[in-house]
Amino acid sequence: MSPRADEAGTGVSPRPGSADPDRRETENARTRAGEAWGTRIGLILAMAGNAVGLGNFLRFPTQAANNGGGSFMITYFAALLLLGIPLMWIEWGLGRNGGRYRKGHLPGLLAAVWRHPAAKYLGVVGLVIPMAVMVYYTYIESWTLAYAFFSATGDYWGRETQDAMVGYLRSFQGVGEERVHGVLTPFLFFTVTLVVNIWVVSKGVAAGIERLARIAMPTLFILAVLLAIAVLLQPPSAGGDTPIRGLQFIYGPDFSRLTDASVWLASAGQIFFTLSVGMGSLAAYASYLSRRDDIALNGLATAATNETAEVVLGGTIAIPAAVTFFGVSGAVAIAQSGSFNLGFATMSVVFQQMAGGQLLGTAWFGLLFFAGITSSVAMLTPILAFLREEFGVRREWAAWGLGGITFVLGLLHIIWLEHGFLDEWDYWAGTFGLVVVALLEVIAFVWIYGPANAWRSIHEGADIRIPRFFKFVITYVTPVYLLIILVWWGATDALPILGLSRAAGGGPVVAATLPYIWAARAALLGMAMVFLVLIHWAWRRNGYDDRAGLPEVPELQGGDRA
Amino acid sequence: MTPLALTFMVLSWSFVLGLTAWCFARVLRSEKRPRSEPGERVDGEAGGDGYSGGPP
Repeated sequence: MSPRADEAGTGVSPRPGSADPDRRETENARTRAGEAWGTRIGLILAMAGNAVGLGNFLRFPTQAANNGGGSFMITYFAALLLLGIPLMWIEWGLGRNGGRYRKGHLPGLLAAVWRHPAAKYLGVVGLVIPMAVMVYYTYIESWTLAYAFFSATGDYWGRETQDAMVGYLRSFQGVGEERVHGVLTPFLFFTVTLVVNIWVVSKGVAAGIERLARIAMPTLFILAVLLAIAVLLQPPSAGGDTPIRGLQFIYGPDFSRLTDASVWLASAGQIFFTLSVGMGSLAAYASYLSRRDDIALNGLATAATNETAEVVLGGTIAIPAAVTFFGVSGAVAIAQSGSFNLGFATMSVVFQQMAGGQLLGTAWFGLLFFAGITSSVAMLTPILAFLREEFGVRREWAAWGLGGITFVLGLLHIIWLEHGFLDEWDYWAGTFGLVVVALLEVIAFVWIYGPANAWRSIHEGADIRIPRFFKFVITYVTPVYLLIILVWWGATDALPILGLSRAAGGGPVVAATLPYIWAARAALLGMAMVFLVLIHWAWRRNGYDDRAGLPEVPELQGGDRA
Repeated sequence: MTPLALTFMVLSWSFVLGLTAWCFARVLRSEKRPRSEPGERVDGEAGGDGYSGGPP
């Protein structure tokens, strides 16, 4: 951070040597170019934006309602304290440590803490997973943009039943026989969404991602608060259902579920997904920080902001609205039919019943779009860092090049959505893969680098002292928690899905979808092979010695790799 | 809404809102004072090899 920026209250300290006029000139030039975080609040908002996503508003309330309501919150907060917040600190610590070696990608981050030839290759999962998730997440994000447009124009007005709106959603997705829109409509919204994403990423960390977060995050919170108020003020329905019954539905405790292991795993999974850990993007963001910058308090603030968005706002909109208009039994059926039906079909029906529905519908889908885009712009950051740091590719070229690849792969998801192509990627990259990456990060940063080193590293420049209890948690509890999740999901989901005895999207595997399932797996494996070759090439090209360790780069700006 | 459900909701909201408010209050407070220097020891840790601890 430049001295000038620090004077503006960034919370990011001046670097040693910043009194040197030449250095200061360089630092200011870098800051102006948007190659480091501009302000501390901007950093927290960008990190929180990364964490706050569609799951906060769609997945959380359905998970809570389906897993014991109020008693789910006990397991949820246990997972937050023992899994989520420790993982947040670990990703920030691993990322900032990698920044010392000018590395913002997992192969480099692992090599920075583990001087072994295998480290860099294991890091391939930290390139494949964000790339794969970016592709289909951007596609789903484009639905929210489309629905914001459809709400504003009243396109679906008149379709006032759940079945009608599910049909409308399937039509938009190109699934089934009914066609409401032109065949190119989903392609158009996907292209627009992707272009906006890539444009933001191409502008760099401060001028692109941070600027987006400073606009999108406050907007998101304002929209969520307005929607929550609008829902809570709804009068009772003809059947006597109210939004308060919706809150009762979410928070009414069922203590018998506390002894059910699946509830503990469901809450751990929700915490895991909502904080965006295991993607490598938080670490990539943190790699732009220096040793003098706080990560302990910033990491906690990021997690807390995400939790406010999820628990207070996410739980107060969709399910209370669904209960008011469909009753508890209707809401149960909707919640069990999936988050997308709740978010896109049910909410569209609800808004048609409410005063100012078009405006509220636009606000709801706009809120989801902002939640989505602040997450998706983070996903390309590790790959962008890899291309820039190891091959010297210009940021704009790297961003638009990756955008082109994302576009081509995204077309496969649009065309083959009904054949389970997206479900397959969502399971292996967006569900199982995240746990694998998180476990790798914990093992490397805590066990290989050493608990004492990890603990000291997290406290470098810290504005708070983390209670020592968490050192034990980070060293033992979090890895065991992750291992249990991995083994449980491996046994109950991964093996049946891998063996084709169950589809990744649920239900039995249909023979006609087999070629698409194998194509999806081949695409993921192909992507991994390409990245493995690139990692090998990068290490040879740059002359890295695995045993001697990566060369440390003198701190300038907390990073110049944006 | 039953008292038990209300209790769970109030406790959940209080926890996350309280944590968020505390974090941002600390962030704003830490902006107003000098930052720590590398080399300080983390409380309770043996040795200090260039890593810093909390605020002075």
